Amino acid sequence: MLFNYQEFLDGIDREAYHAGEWQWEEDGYTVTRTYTYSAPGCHTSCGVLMYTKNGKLEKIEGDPLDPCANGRLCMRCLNLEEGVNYADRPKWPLKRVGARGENKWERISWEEALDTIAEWIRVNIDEAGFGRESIFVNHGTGRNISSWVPFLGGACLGTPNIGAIGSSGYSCYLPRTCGTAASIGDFPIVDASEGHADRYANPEWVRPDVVVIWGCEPLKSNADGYLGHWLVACMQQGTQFISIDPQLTWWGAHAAYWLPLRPATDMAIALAWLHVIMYEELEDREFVDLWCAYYDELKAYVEPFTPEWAGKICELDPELIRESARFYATAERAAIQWGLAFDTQNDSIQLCQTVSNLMSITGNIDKPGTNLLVRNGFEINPGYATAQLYCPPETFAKKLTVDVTHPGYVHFIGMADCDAVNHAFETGEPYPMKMFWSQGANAITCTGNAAPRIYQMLENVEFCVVADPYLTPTAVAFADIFLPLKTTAERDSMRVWWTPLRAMKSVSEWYEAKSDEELIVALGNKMNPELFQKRWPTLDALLQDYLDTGFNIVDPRRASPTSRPAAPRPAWWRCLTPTPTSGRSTTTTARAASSRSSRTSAATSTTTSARPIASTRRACCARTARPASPRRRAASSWCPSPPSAPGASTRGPSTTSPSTP
Amino acid sequence: MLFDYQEFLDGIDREAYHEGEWQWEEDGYTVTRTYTYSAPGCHDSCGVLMYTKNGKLEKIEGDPLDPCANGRLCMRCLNLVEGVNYADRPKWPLKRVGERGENKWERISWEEALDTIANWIHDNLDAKGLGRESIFVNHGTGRNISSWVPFLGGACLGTPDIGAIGFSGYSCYLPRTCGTAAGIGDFPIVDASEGHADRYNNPDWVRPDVVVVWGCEPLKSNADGYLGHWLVACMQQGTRFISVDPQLTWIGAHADYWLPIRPSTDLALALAWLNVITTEELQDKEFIEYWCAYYDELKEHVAQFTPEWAAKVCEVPADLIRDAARFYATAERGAIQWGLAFDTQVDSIQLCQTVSNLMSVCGNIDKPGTNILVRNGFEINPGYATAQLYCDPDTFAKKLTVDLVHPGCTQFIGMADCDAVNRAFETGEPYPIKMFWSQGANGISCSATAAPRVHKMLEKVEFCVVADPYMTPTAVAYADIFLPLKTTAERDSMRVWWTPLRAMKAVSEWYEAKSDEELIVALGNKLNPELFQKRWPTLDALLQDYLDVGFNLYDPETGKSYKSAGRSKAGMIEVPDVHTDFWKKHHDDGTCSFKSLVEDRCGYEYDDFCATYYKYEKGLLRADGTPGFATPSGRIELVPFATFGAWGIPPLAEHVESLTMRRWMEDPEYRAEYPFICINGSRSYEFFHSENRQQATMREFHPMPLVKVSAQTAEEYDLHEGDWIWIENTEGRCRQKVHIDPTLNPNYIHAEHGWWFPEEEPAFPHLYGTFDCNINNLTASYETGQGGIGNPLKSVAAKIYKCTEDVNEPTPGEVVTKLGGFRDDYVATEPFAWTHDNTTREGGRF
Amino acid sequence: MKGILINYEFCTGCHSCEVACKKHLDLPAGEFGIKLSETGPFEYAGKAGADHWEWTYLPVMTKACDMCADRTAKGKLPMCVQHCQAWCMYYGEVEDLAKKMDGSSRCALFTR
Repeated sequence: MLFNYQEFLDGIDREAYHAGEWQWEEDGYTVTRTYTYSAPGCHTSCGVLMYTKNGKLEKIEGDPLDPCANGRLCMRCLNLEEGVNYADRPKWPLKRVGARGENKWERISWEEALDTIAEWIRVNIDEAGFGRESIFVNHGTGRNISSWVPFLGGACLGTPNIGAIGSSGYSCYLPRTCGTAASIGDFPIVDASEGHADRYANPEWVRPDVVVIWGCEPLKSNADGYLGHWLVACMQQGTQFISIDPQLTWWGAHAAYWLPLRPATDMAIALAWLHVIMYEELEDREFVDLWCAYYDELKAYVEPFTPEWAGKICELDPELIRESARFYATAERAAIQWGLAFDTQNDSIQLCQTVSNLMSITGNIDKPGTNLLVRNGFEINPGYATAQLYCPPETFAKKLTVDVTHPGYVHFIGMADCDAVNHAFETGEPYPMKMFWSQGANAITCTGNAAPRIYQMLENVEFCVVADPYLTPTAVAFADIFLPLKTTAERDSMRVWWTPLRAMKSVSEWYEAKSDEELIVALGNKMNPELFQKRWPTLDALLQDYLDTGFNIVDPRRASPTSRPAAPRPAWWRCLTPTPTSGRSTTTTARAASSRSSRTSAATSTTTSARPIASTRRACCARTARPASPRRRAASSWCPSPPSAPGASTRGPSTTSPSTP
Repeated sequence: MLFDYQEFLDGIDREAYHEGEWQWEEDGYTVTRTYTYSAPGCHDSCGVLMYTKNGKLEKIEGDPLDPCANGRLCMRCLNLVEGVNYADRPKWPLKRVGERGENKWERISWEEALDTIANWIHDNLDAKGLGRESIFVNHGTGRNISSWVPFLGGACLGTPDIGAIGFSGYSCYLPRTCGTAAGIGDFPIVDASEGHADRYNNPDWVRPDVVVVWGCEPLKSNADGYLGHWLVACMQQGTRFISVDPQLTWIGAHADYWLPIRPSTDLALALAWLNVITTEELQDKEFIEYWCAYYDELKEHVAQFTPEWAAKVCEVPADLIRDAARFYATAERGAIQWGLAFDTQVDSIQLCQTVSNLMSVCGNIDKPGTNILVRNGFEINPGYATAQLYCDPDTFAKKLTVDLVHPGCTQFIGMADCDAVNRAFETGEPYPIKMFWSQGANGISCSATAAPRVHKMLEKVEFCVVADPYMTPTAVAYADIFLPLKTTAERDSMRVWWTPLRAMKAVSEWYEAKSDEELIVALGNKLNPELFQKRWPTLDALLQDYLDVGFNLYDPETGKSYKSAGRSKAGMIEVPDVHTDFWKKHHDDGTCSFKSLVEDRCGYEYDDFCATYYKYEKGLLRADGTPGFATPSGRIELVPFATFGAWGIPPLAEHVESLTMRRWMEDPEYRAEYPFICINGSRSYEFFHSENRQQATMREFHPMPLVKVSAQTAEEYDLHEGDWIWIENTEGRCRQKVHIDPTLNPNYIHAEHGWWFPEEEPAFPHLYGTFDCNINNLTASYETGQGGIGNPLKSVAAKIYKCTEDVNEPTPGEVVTKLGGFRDDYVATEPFAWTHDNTTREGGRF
Repeated sequence: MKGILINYEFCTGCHSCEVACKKHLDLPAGEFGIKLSETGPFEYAGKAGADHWEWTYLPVMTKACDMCADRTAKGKLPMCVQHCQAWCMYYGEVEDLAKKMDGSSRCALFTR
């Protein structure tokens, strides 16, 4: 095996790469050690060295001392300079002078731009008897601005309706977060030691034996905070692979098994895998006994879903399904890397939950080299739900929720429901959409399915503001006001997606462009001065607050953080309380400040039939005493029961039963 | 430098490769150490180990102990098994039972086949007072059968008319042999130590400093007894290159200078190089003083041809011409590798002579690492002129010669003049051609320019015999009798092209197929029993005679010997002793036999002539043994007043444009209609001319004919890789698939030649698709240069357009075989109808 | 450890290694034990002479290649090395092959 991480680290000339320094002079350049995000960016952030001369980005290279990417970059960052210095980037705010689509603009100052926006809202919404809910804010995909734009919507514009026009079904990432939250309570990702600063040299980490690359192409996407090529490092250290994808990818060509399923039939494979694992008793009996519930019910349920059954649906050889299931289940340490395909099927929510069961029944949860459970570093959690923090409660109550278009459904997502938004644009029900704000998003070119239909929704919207580093089709088609944004090289900002917390230090300027953060400060101090002058008068204050409270609500008068209801957990939490609450239900279980090691999570409240988790002797057995016996052991005699009081054993999940409002 | 010949030799496990043994058993195979030639073959012959089981060839690999190729092989030989064991190879003689082109045959015995031929000749020629000259024998390109087929024509059929139908101007190799014979008297090739058995270890050899790869693609062609990759071995040892080629080649991309001249303007470049060398005094003064003549006349003549003048003609910057000339001239050891492009221009004969002057004025003659002068080993010289040895002198006098078509020219070529043959077919003058014999040749698919016109010549010939290992379009179109020939793996034969003498040992059989040699013995003993029963009753006798006297005439009673004039002179000359040097060397030790060559010397033997440098100093070039060159004056005649004078060719070279190129350059309307110069026939690794098309592996690498277009042309015509397009001019059209070449000059396109599709319908009108993709639908015969030499088939004008439904009918196959051809206004000896009118008619017919 | 050194500066893309290998391993159409890769032809603006054009071939060994274990066991050369017309393939111990790489021209060292 040629891969040797220590040898790589030892081979780095720390002087040549200025270890420890964040900025220095080199060959007539100013070199800044920083991280990229967007735009142009991706879901992930790599350590880079930006070379600037006279305040202009001229060169970029990876930073070998950055533990995330170890100095390696994909094409997109290697070519960042062309994106940042693109000559036709808008230089200052623009006002549309021709008809929409004529691409005729006039330069205006920021002052005039913000005044125009504020004035329009005051005249056409506030004083015209409409609520701020008639403003729809379209954020782009989840790069580091996926928390800033909802925050702008709520805190500056006061609307609860933040989302992505036209992308029905939240078909990107949310199905996976909800599917796993439902049963595991946390989000699992493949352990490539990305959680440790010492990466592959970490003593506890062990590379996975088998990784299933399921419905994604991680090498090209680097999706969801995960660098696909970490898996190639695992491959070099011996990890074997299963590829589940209608198309042959590089992975499929190097995998022990490739399952070329018919598109959107992933659920059939998941159920068949469960069938094989359970009926051939390949599950991790001890883990199931100690840490899982409803195993028997699930086993009974999947009884009919044989590989033969799935083979017909997926158009696959049943033996291939059976053998690949065994290959996954019998591995000592296995993990599942999944992607967007999971979010784009009619049975997405159940699919994601079912695949998470595969991880659970094989015990591949939170062990080295398996699917480890992750949360945003330091509990800095501003996200899509940030809008509701500072949106007035009465306005928030009018958020466009899923039940508007899908009666009987319960809304458990932070964002406004996409179809409800579409419905509002098309019918004016429950209220008309008067204003469309698009920031770091290009819906009609990219995310908006049924784009021609979206065009009909937006072409007559009364007022439209587009904020973007580039003049896009969405801007030319609909914008009345265009606000130029900074690119990643020009922004002071931060982001934490799992770990580590990373800062983006600006190294250059672009005429009058503002960063997303600077836009929030400028717009907020214009539209919502009381709040902003108090908490975020300047960019520095905003950045500091991101670090201090993650934009959560702090009433300086009350020391404890619970004075005003905060919503640390996604709204879906409420739907688990036995009696549906009327009106706005707030969950009070603020997350107890906790040190890294004894993290507790709000456990799922148990419905009557769940077997409780043992909180006594078994739960507190030390990890080392864990029997190294083969996976399938005799069932233990007792069964787990829920811990009786908060702060119970470190290992078992402790619940502070949710207080009903 | 990684190249290390001694290390290579030391690295060979001599036991594993059975050094010294010619045949042995290995893993259940019988392994035979032998040489390949044809068919399917090429101009060369590499040492191979043939693995056979139960008499069937199953595997082949190179023989690392063979000094010629050092164990290396190109694709063609590596894939030989597919060619030899091709299931559809004809197994026995066939008699046509349907109409010509119906592809309906009946099996007959060899006896019946030969009787039919003999009787036909007797009844339709001898009995009717028509001479044997009314038989035309078409030989293929110069593989090792290029001496056997002329021998068959002369000795068996008794005709002097041997040649290649439709192939005006002898436009392959002969222009170069004649051009050099006129000035130097011998043939020069680049010295890659191929004359020595110890090759790159030879103490006398030095690698060339500069090699000019001019108008050829040696890596793919392995043409004329020269393995192109020998030059890569030189490159690794430090040789640098100049490439003169309208297209970029691999060597061009690795050359110090690439001169992308306009096609067929090579003579202008050569004259300009001479201008630079003579005006800047870069010539080898001592060599010129001792060994050359007419240098001052040459210098004076080329004074007018400055690089600036040539730049306009060749469309290449003057400085590039000047720098490249200096780079060649100032090299200690320079050499020029040339190829077929030299033979396909209307100033070919003067071009070849002028480029040989470049070698001479720089003293790059017969010195190590330069152009060495070579002759066939052991003076075994049967060649194209062999027909005249045993053809009846009166009949021979009626040979179709160049003056019949090009008054004022004199015949100095062994073969019949191609255009005189074409004219005889078209007019019956001076006598009708009654019988067409085609052996190892596929004229209408490959070498025949104006192929549709040749079809008109042949479709009504009274009697046609085709001998070939494969059923070909030529056979299906015209053959009355088809004779199956053996492939290279089944033939006992020999060949010497320069050196070494190499033997091909048969390792397998193919039903009733005969080798070219066995066919000669069978046909000869049938048609010319007196001669054959005396000299060549059996194959062994024939092979022995090849080694003893190279088929020359030896009369034991009178002791007189008559030798064929050999290379470039017609007629015969009396010589004191006609025995070959091989006979002289080995008849005492009893090893002067095919058997001993195969078994005692592993199939090869080098002779001394090609291994010796400075032969002109040692009196080895002149018949009388005096120092000097085999020229009238004994000096290199830089201006060949004597020889060219005798041949009726102006001795002072002038660049001449072909009819098409002159019109293309001067007539904007014509150029607008036909905007591209269509260069044709560059080689590819997979195929040798029209061979190898049957082989699945070759077609995997090269499935369809490709026409190269520039990136700019692709954009203008909205063409994508793999689109079928029509290529058309006044003579006809064909279609090939687009390959976009970003390095190609936008004024040029390049089409492939020799394409037909054995997997497709043989019968008319499709005829294996041989007319649909045949670039020779656009070429024209009869146009030649001085001395009737050189047809401009590699630079025709053409237009292109996409193959769309509305223009695809009728296919060229239908046009040629059913609708009377593209044109019906041909005038014998006239190349293009448009010389008198420029009508282009609809319906795909012109 | 055995390897194959390819002095690909001189590889002319003649396909001999591909066909020799296909024949030895009896590989069907579309499968290769060694496959030619082609870079270019493209030109470098401003560079002259032999540096102006890039037209480079490099044969790449596939999973099907076993480095002719059966042949080399009997003292024979691997089929590709033996038949390479351009003289740019060498077979031997990796250490020895590495010593041949003298920086005079571009090389690539392949191992299983």
